[in-house]
Amino acid sequence: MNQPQPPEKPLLDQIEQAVQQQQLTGQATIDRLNHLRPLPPRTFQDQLEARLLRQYQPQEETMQAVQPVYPLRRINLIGVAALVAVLLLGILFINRPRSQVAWMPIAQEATATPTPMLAESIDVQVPVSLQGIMSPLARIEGGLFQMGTNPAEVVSAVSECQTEWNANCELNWGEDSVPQHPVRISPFDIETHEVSYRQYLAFLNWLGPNRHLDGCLGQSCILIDPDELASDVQFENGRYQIDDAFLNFPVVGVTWYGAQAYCEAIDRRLPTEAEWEHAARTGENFFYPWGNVFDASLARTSRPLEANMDLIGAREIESYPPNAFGLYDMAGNVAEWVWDWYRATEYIERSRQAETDDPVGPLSGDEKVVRGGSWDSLPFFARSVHRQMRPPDAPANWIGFRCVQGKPINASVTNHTSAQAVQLPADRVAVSLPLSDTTRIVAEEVIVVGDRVDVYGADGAIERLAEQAQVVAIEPFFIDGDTQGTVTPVPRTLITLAVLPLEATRLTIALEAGQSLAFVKVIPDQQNLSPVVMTSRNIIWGTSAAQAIQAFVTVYLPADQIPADAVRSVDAIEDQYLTRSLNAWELVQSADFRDESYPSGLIPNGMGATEIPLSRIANDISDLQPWTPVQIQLTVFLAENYLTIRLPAVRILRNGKSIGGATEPFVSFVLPQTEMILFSRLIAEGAEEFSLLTVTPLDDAAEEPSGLDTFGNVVEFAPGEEGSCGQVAAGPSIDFWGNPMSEGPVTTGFSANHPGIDFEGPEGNVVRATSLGKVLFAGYSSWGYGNVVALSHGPFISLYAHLGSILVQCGELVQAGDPVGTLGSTGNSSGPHLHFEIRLDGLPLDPLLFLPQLAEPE
Amino acid sequence: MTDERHQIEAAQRSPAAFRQLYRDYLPQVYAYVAYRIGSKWDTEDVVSDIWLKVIGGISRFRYQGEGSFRAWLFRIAYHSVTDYFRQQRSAAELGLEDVPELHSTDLPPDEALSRKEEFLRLREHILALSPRRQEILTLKFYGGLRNIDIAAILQLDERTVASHLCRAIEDLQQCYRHEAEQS
Repeated sequence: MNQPQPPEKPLLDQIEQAVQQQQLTGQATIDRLNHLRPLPPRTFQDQLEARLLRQYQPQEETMQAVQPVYPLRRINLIGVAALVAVLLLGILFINRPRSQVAWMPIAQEATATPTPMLAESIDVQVPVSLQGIMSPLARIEGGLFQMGTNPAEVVSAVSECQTEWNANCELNWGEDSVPQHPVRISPFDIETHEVSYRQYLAFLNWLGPNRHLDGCLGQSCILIDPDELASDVQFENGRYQIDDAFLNFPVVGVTWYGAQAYCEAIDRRLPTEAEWEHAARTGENFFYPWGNVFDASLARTSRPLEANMDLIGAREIESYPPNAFGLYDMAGNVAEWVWDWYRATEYIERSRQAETDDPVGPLSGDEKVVRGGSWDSLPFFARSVHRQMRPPDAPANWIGFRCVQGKPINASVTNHTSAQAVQLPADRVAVSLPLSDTTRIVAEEVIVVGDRVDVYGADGAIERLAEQAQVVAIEPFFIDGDTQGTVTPVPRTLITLAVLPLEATRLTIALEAGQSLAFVKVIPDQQNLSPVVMTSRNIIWGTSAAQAIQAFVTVYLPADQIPADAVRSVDAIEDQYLTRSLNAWELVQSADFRDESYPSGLIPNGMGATEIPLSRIANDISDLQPWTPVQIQLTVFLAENYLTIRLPAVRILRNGKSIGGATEPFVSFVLPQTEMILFSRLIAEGAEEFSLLTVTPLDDAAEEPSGLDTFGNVVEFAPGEEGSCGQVAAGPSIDFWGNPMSEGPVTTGFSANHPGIDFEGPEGNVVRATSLGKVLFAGYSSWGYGNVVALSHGPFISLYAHLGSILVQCGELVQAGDPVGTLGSTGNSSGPHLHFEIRLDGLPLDPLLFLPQLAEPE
Repeated sequence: MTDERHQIEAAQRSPAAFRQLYRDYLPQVYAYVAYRIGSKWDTEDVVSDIWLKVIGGISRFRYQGEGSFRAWLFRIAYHSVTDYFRQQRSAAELGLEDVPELHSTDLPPDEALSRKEEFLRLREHILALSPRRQEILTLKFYGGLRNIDIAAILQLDERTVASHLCRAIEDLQQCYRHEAEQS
């Protein structure tokens, strides 16, 4: 194969030169670094040496190439079982029978014939300048295939990664690609090559000068020089250009929007994740497009090191042979954006259905899926099943893309709601599901522990879909009229019911004591159910161990229209840092939305409000250390079309008192009209009931809050100092942290020796309150901070130091963005700057955690 | 077979060879950890921990070419330091008596002391860098790693490593310049 002189080299040389230049000028610093080199003390060195030699165990056999054998033979079965169990922890309750079969052969319906498509067959809407250079397409026949992988394969891949490549691959990197689940896709045509610079530059030039900044679905298309992470693309003389040597290299540095916009311009789109995976695997069940053993001659990854360490960047397209479908670089070279939003639990969700047709991923999210691995990653990432993710607006020098022509994606695709497992508490209790005429109910995995499950429905309402009930056993189950269907006891039963058109009615499933009903799904036929995904800010709690975390979904809606079930369910609650299972969270939906105790003045525009607490109780989190950052993601399915919600509020509780928390700024969503009303009340096993908490006031709607925070704390700052306001009722809990300076870079970051951050700016500039808060301190400090203002926000304090003048008074309630003073240089200050701190329970935290719009100081 | 490869494969079979490997690499591991952690006592704990992991894992190590052992060793070191910070959140004030020895111990006492003060100052400046740059700088100068190995450990692009390194050195220079201007 042609291997031209790699053009990455000049770039690398440039960088090395820059480093060398830097080193010349920085020589004194480098000398210092080299000079001040700590040495291990002799005694320590000797003691450790003795200890090590006592433990020394020579290698038993001579090194031999251990060829990893896939998938299972080499693996200790007990180990696998244990690891599999670990992997399965997150997918508890799932018992789709097929997923127990390792590497089921894929249905052989799928075949592909590369059918290069010529320019004349192209839609006339495609810009002329792009027509001639579009990549050829290969036809991929649709069909059923097993998407994703199974825990055993992940274990085996991780083990290969560790033994073969000495890399620290971890099992949880593969968690999101299990379980394997059947997916049916429609036929489509996929580009045989990753999109090249030649193609992408033609697109950019078609867009026009400077449109790379906003020309792709309103977003940035690509990073070009001189952006950070210097791209090889230049914009000169009104044209986007690149060194000719790069033209046949895959384009990188494109945003997801830039990728999709290119595809749209040529009447194509990005492949869905399922399409991509199917095209990569070519109807086989291999880990890599060619087989189960990684072969460095077939794909560009970062391994083996010897062969790849001198080069960075992708190889020219067609440097490696194509897969069986005629597609190049489906493993490695550059990773590829695909259509879908990323959700770690996506496969788990899908595996609850018998089969998923043309999946397009969640309706919203923070990150898009990236597939295929790259020159920058281990072979592990180049496995056809591996999933990576990246925010759509965060391009990378290892991500490119290719397009497909296929079934149009309807962006408002239906999703389903799902409820948490239901364990009925004591006596026989009915779970009632009000239905409308277009609802299907899927009660999956009704785990019958007691005598029987009764299902009631109106005339003709319920019909069994026997073909979907591929389960351990299911007894005849049919309801005719108002008669009663009965399921005789079986350990696990999957029941799928279709509710035929009928007047809105109510399905009642009666369960005996001790019975439980897991994963009731209600699937509306209308495509109008919009989940809303929100992610909390990072929250960090204080010095004491937390006993509970509660996330609150606050819903505002017209007071006279509050439906009984405004929030249908809350799904996919994830804690990104702790990676705890979402099932550990329980939804306790409050029953009465019209609680009169709401301070009506705090609710905007005649809206009612409710908070729906989700709780995670002490024993779940008692092992978490103080200062652990937590981020919680909620996907909320809302019922009605006029909801305005503010999400999520998260509070860390100890002894019922808030010791930390955060909410996002107010967000509004308008949801499509639907007539669906779904769940009534479900109570999860072991959950305590939570009463309705008071609504935290909205910043802009707040009249005069009581001055107490929600939990009635009293705070004091620097008692005895002249500027101290004495004991003050704590300000309201935090809603939102803003920037204390409208401009001015952060010049000094947070560190052990500098408990805040410094903003530089001209003297006299306005310093603003970062959040709604109560003045705790306003005056000259005796400890070197000069003029200081401190504001109380629930458990937090924000502090503004070295002010030239102070514009607030003790006890005053300051709105976010209000001036608290002017920038100055009072106290121990070497020049005009603002020293800004955020403290929680008296301990300073890095404000950049709270002010994410600020960059780290350079 | 390179010398390095020979040495490492020998160390997998013979305790004497392992001892030599240990003696060759210990100073760099120690210097790296000392800069990251600061206190002599904690440094010794973490360094011991790292070498115990090395001895537990060396028989499974596969030589992958020049520098691969160092990269593997410092990947262990990097994760051990990260674990340390995860458990140890409060940054303790560092006194001169906590500072590790620098260079040879036979310096006159006053010179040794001024060295230590210099070390504290340098470390303070390093701590003022962003965490990422601290990691890169210490891996580079004390671990003696190549950029590509640092990139692999930190899961970064090599160019990013190079640019961070430039900026880190620049920042340190600025600190010293600033210091010189003030005094």
